[in-house]
Amino acid sequence: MDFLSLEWFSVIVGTVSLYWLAPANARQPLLVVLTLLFLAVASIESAAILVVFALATYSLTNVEHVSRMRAILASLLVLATLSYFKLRFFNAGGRAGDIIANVAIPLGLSYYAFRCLHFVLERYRNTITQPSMKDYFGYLFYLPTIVVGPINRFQEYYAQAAQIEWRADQLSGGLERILFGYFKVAVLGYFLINGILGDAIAGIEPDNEALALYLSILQDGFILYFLFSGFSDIAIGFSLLLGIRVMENFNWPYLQKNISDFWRGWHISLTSWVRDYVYFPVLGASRNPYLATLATFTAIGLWHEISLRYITWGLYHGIGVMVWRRFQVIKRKVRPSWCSLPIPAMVFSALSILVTVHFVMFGLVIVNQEDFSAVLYVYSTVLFFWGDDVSYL
Amino acid sequence: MFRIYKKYFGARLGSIVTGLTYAAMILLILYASLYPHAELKYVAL
Repeated sequence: MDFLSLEWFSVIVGTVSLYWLAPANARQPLLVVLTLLFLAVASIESAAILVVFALATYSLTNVEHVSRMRAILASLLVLATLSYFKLRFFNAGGRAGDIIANVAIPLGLSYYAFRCLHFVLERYRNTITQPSMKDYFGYLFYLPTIVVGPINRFQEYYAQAAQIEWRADQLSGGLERILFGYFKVAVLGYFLINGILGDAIAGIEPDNEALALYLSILQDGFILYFLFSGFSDIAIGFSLLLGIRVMENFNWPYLQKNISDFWRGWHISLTSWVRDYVYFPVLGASRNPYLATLATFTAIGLWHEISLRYITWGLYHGIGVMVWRRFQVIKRKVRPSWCSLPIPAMVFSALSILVTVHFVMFGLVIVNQEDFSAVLYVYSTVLFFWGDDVSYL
Repeated sequence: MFRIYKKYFGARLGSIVTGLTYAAMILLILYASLYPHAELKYVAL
């Protein structure tokens, strides 16, 4: 289902109407049923797999104190299922972001699996008390976030689900958010960047390939942002219409001045997840922030797709963050005092934003091209204007 | 959005400007959805 379609809009309107018409204690089960219906219509296999998955993790953690063995078993189950479908998807020729209905992978599995894993690990840490199956299913089968996230947390959901009430400000806020989301997707993403800029790129003379490739890189970066943040806005707005505020997923990532801040503003629900469950544990075990950073970004890469190019992309960002941290230490020692004056500070801020945006967008080339020779071709053409020579490598 | 406009234009004018902004956004969305575009991949993973 296209999120820009009338069908998806009807799903939102229909769900919100039924939800508020239902008695208060029936709303959560109703939403679970509607989510399962939605999944079953998209793919009956998806719905069945996710239900089995939820039952298995729930039964493994349905004890007062989750033992280490149970936590490991449940985590392995989640990771093995996710890996199996990701590999099956990749071997079938699918690429991260492809429309899922065409290939055999449960809808939104990556988001769903990380929610399950979060639940299992927090149950093991005993920060979540044993919930009822209704609450667990309510959390996992939550229609607004099931397909494109955010990867919301159980505690956040549970605290709000217990005291849902009709609030006019949430309703208007939700509608506004959905409008912003559709605006980002339809006007900025599809129309301006994909349509108008795409037509302009197609009209560039073949002898000006470097410019065409450079603009294509920018186009890919902006499309990804407008689509993904637009869908997140729609999901957050949809959730607000149901009386639950889920976490934000973006905070002006392309206006950040360094790569570390970029990752604090990009796909926040995923980055905070890997911070809590990969970065801190690896840092605690190794006492090495560089190793923890590399492990974190490798996990982010693998979450998108189990492939060499996504591991490379993860390492590219991991190394970027490490270099930036090192640079901060050096900068403090060598920075001349005039850099803090208003005009130089403004110029440096603008340059920092430009460098960060270009670093991120050039990183996308790694995952958007078919193979590494194509990646090298794009880099060499755009950066050094000698792409043809690389074909001999 | 209304909160921002209210700050600059006051409550009455702010609500009119907010309404006009929403209307303009909806019209732009409708116009943009008529523009022929290639099917874009989305981020359901």
